Amino acid sequence: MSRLERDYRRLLLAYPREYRRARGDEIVTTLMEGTPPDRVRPPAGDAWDLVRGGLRKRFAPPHGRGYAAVALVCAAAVAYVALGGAIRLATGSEASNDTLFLASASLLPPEAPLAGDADRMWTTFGGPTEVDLTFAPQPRALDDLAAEARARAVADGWVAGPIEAHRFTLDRAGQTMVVTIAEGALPEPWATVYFKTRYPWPAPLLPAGIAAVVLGGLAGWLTGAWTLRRFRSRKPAGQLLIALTGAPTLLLVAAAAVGTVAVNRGSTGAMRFTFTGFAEGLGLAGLAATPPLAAVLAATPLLAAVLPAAGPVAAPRPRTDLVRVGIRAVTAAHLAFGAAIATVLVTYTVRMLATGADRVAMVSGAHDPKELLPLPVYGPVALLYYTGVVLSPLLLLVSVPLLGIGRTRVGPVAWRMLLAAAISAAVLPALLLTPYGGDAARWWLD
Amino acid sequence: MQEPTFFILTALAEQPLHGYGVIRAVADLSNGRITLRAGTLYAALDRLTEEGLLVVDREEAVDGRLRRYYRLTDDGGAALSAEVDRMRANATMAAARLRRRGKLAFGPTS
Repeated sequence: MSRLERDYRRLLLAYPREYRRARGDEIVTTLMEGTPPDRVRPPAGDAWDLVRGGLRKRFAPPHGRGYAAVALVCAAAVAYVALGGAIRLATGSEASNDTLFLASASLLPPEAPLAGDADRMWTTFGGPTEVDLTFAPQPRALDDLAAEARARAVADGWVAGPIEAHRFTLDRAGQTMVVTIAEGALPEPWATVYFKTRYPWPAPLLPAGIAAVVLGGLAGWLTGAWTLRRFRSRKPAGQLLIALTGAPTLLLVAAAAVGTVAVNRGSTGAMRFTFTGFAEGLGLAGLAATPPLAAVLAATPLLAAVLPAAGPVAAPRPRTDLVRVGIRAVTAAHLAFGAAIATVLVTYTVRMLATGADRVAMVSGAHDPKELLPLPVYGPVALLYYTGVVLSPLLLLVSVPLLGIGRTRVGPVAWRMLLAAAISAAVLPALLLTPYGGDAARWWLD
Repeated sequence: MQEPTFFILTALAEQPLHGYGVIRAVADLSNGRITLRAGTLYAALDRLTEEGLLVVDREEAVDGRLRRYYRLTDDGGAALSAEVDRMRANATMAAARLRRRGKLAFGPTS
């Protein structure tokens, strides 16, 4: 082997081993045939082209059919979950906010009817907590009110800075508050004082959050692309299984994101005095560090890893009959969703019969479904149940026409399976609308 | 269809070729404008094979080296033919517009 060939083979290491085994010799032949006899080293252009081609084979999603878009969605989903995890970890140890909230309330005259709220300064990382005390218009000077508040803080053990322009700083045990006294109209007309406490994010969250988004996005992209490459080379049944696991997972993360935005948009008025309800865990993403969500996220790539390949695609496959494929896919989807809904109903009934609990006791929280079903069962059932309740009746829009046109295109067994699946898709969600089914649904949700 | 893809399919339209044969044919057909490198060529060959436009025709060992020949499938021929029709229609349309522009610019002589 010449030195040039050895160099080319070294560059081919950029490609996945499986690909190198199948195509390595052929590519080296092509490279060597195109080389002038006096060449001793690979030209830089060839080297870069091989490295780029190899990295694409390793890390890029398959070509076409919106695969890149799916990989991007995966990147966004994992970045989002990672950010949620980072926020959870950074704010988890932040017990000080409760004491600061109470401390800022104690700055005010005890007898005054007061209202207040606590809020996160969404774009501030590190630094003091800002407390704004707004008094309803009154005869007393603001300087006096500020001096009184400062005196109460000192009595409470705070080290207070001088008052400058109705503003002073308080320090205690590493905690800092900047208090500003003002006068004006209050959001609550019955109160005489309104206090607003605004917290910064913990300082480490800025680098941790950026790292989480970058690394999470990268991990999501790589995992998504890898899963899609595997997806592409699986048998149709395997592809269906991967799609049925992956799509609800992404939907779940998207739902959590939308839900978080909705909660935070709607929370401005409702948060008063309900500090602990603060929805900053980014919804479901806050659970990133917990095993169930990690298991759900990992399910799809694991499935892709386990399912066998369809074999070499050397010969062009005969054209697939879309109606046949559609009937199989829709049947499987209906049955998977139906199985999950049925599992919920059956587990509820069995539990009720076995323990003799009545309907009130069942939804009281004493019979948590998470404790009844093992995690590997609970995760997929939960995923399919939530998706199925919404998607399965919608899927009837596809399966009913397929029942009509598919009668002559597939065997009687496949057709009857679809019929049964379609009926289950109408009946099972309808059962959840009955009083009994409603209890079961509530029990599952709780 | 991107230009390198077009030239690869064109190169294989007449006869099956191996990797270096495709590189040379594409360079000839494009008057040296397109020089395919191996990484790019094999990425395109893989994609076109996956799309069913090409298949492996045969393998040969020459001087102990493996050569794999690729052949256009019927689908590949149809895709190339559709692309040719599209390009021809575009060219005809552009030529017609240019002719009208020429007439407008110089105007009728009489």
